[in-house]
Amino acid sequence: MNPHFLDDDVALLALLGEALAESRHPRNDELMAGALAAFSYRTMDQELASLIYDSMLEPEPVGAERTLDTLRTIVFEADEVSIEIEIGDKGIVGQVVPPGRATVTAEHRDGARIQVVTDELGCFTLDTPGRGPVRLHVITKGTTAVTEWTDLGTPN
Amino acid sequence: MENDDGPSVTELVQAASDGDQEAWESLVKRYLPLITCVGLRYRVSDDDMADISQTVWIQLVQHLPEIRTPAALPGWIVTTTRNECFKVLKAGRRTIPVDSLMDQFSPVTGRTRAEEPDFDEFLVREERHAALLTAFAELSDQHRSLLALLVVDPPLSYEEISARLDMPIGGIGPTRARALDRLRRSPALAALMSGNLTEDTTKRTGK
Repeated sequence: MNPHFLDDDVALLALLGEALAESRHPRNDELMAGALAAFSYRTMDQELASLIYDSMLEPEPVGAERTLDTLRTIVFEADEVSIEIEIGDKGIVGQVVPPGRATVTAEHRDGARIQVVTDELGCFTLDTPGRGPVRLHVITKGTTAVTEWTDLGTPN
Repeated sequence: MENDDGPSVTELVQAASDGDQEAWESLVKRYLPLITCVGLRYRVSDDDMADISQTVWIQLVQHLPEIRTPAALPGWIVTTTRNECFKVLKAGRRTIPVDSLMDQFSPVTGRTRAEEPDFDEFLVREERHAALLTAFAELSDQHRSLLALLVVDPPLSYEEISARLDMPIGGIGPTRARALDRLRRSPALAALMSGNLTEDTTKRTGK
């Protein structure tokens, strides 16, 4: 790697030009529009349960092969409550932690909502949503939280 | 960090977090090239790039309050974009070889680094571009506008640039020098020179 581009204005400008030209995507206008539209996804006043674990991002063990038929596990965490879900072929199985009765509402981007009540251990099931961002609203006796928008659908 | 002309990145993040849509727009213009740069590194399709980009921005808007320093934002963006690229690449394969950490194999050919000698060169170039784009994103609007016009090919005349920016022709040279100096002294380029990557070294998820 030649460090001289840092000393020479002409070389630095040329390299910047190269970086800018290459990173300008053919569908830049569309990307820009999508990015601007994302502003409407902000959480505002609700307590956010952040996605802190997604099994899809785990490195895989050495010496083994894994197919995509395995379950996907996601954990969302807020200050006082967390939601763990497993997404499989048959649907979503989840638990609200600490264990206890709660109401879980799956909200889709188009506004559609599906509400389920957990058992006394906080366990619930949901049908697998289609593609597209979904967030889960959780109401327990002591707290409410909403997960970040996440695509929970199975990739094709 | 620019503070002589317009808001700094830290201020933009704070303002966007408080609901300022213009601040959000400014962040989008500054950092979209970094996202597409990472997407290029992993050779994602155009459709996937559109999905990945929007997913990254949706995550960012929800996590803005956690980004407290200007240095944290580009690292967060690169790590998150990389993770989304990884998910897409993984979804595209029914089985994948397990020592296929993203830097070990080429997403395009599926061959390992040892089998594709140009891959390292490609990665180095992309790292350099990412560092430059990160540094560029932190310049003031005036400096960014000027440098963007100066790299247009075929080149614009100084008359043309002066008209577009409403800047006196005599000011172009000195402003160019100042802008490049800021770029050169950016922490992102220093990190590149010392061999550190622009990415946040802690994973967002999965620890």
